[in-house]
Amino acid sequence: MLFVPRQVALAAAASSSHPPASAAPTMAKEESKKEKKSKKAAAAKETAAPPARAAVVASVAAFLEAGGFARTLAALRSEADLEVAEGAWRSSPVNLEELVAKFLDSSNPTPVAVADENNEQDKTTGDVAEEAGKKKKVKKTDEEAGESEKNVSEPPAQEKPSENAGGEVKEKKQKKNKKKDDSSAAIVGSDEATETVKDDDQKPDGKKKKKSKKQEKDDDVEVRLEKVELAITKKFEAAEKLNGDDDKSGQEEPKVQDDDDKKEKKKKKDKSATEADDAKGKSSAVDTVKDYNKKKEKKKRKKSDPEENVQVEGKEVAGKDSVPKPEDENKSGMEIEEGDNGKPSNENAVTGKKRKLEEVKGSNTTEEDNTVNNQSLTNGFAEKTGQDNNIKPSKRQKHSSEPKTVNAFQRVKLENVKFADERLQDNSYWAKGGADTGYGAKAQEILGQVRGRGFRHEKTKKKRGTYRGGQIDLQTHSIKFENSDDE
Amino acid sequence: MAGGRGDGGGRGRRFGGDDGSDRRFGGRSGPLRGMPAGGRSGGGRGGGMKGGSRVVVQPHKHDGVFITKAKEDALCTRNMCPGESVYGEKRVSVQKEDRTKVEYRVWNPFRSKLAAAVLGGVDNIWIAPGTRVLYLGAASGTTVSHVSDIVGPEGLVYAVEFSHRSGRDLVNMAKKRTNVIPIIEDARHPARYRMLVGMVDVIFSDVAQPDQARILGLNASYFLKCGGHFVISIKANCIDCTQPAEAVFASEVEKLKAEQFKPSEQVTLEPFERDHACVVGGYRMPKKLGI
Repeated sequence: MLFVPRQVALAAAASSSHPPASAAPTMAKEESKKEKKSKKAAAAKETAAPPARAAVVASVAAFLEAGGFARTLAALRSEADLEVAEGAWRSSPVNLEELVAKFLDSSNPTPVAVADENNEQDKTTGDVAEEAGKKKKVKKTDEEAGESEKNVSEPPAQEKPSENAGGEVKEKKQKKNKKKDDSSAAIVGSDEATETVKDDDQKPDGKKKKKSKKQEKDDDVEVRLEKVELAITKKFEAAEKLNGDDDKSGQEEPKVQDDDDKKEKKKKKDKSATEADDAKGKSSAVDTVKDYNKKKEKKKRKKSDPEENVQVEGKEVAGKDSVPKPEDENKSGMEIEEGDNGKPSNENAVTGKKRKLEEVKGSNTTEEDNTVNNQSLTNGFAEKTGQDNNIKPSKRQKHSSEPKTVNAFQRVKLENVKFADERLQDNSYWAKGGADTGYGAKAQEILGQVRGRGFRHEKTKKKRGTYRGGQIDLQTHSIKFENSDDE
Repeated sequence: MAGGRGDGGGRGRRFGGDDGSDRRFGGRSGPLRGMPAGGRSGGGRGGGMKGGSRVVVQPHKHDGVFITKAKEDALCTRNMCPGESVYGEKRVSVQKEDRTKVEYRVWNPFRSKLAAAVLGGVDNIWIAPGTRVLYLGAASGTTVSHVSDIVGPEGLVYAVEFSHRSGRDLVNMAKKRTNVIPIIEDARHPARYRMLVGMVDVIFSDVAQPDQARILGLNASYFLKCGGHFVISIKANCIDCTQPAEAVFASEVEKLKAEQFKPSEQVTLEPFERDHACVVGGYRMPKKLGI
């Protein structure tokens, strides 16, 4: 079940070697990613309320079928007790891929200056986490997108790599502080919306974690959430309820409640995910990582006006609405939130661009921790792009650090080489006479474009004897040496 | 059987060929070797490479090497032991005028550097029927089997291979070819097999070692007659992978000259091999004749 791409494994190994604290969480995240689909399905089963859950399961099943994951689909059906006829879930109105696509579109990051918002981030982090939990609950696809976003947001977190290395304890402390800060943030008010958006991004991690069920972390999260609730205003409280108290989801403000209802399932998932993380033993580290991510995100959001953040949320909501999901409640809740924010969608677009820029920056600036975290955090679709962006720079850095060949052993001294014929200076096929119509022209077209392993692969195919090269000419195309001189 | 081909006359009869459409190769073009028969399957038309279709075999400019012309050309050698395929290569059976069958084996340039050199347009490989060849780096004997075909029953091939694993295949191949003498020994020490090898006309070297020029020179000093010839395949990466292949080839040519060799021509083995070149020349050539 757990096929880990070699690149991911290598990146994880490299990352683990550098920052001890970050490595474990990344590994856990990666695992979670791998199991995302199955986990998602399981989470949906676990958390989703009957109607919404059915829709989620149906959508997941439809996605699996469309994606050709026959085994996973079979497992899902067996575990989820898909009683409904196959046709039912096939016709599920919710299309995960569309959701993700729309979400990605809406969340396209524009470059935003990421800096100087650390303080704000701390304040908002708690709120963000809560909001994130809510959003996660809303849509799985959102989670995936959020993961990608998280990756983006992580780069700023790089600023705090030392903290990650320091250990989970520090992170926890920071989280607590953040929660307190959140209360202050609640005062800010307008920032909340932005935070919630960020939270959505962060949420995916929680979902990933949901896979493994351990309640230890959940408890911690709940405690934190409770603290935040105390401090934060009603809105924040609602968010907290969503995150911390899955059961409580309906309690708070109607808007929040709607979201909560929608998110309840998601919240459950989040809890399960956090539990899973605990089970992995990486949970604490993961949490810390998440916190960092959240902080970063918050910072970013702060940089971008809170209004913009709200707008982003609205966009996301719109995207969700556009997606044919059965969850009308969620949509309505989202809409309500938008109305509260009262901010135009245009702002959302701007924020999305900013996010993209931030992501790019993050990938470029990627600290090892960040890259690892990003990789681990990103699930499914988001993973590919995010990982590519993140991993490449780190690899380049590694390569650059390779020992330079100062005194390479060389049997052939280039300065002593004399070419008896100018044509001898080019050993390529096309430099040879009669190459265009020669027997090897076809092979050259294929083999000339590959090197190393690819060349061997192509040549092995040629060795099977199916090569057709056309006419064999009897001309001489060799390069003659002038021998007369010496002897 | 030969019904379809009007003017093919007595030249060739093909068995199992389809009669309808022989004009393609029309006997009038004068296939030197006569008309083909579609291989072993007799009637296997439309199937594989040669099966069932009309095949014309023409001699290559190098003695003992042939070209089968069907849909596509292919290099081949006349099989010394008909019915035997050494490494799974395809065989083509052709019936001559006297109704005797001749079987050819397709020679894959991607497997054999000598075939790659031939297709690359080398002027002379010096390996011809009746010659004695010392083959250094015989490996499993794929190319050796074709060299064996070329030299024919009158010639002789001493195949030196150091690896026991591939030498096992080489020995098994040699069991069926009386003109192949397998030698499982290190080519760096020709003294160890000097009692097995007589004077040879040509040395083919495919050892891919950094000191292959020295190895060739050493063996030539033992076994190669004056005025004999060498054919050496140079893999640039085995000598110095930090320098461009062309420079490595030039350097090797200079080394060969220092070993009393007289390189006469060089041809790239592209695209069949990567960064390979084949150098052909003479050894202790009489001054008058040159090469």
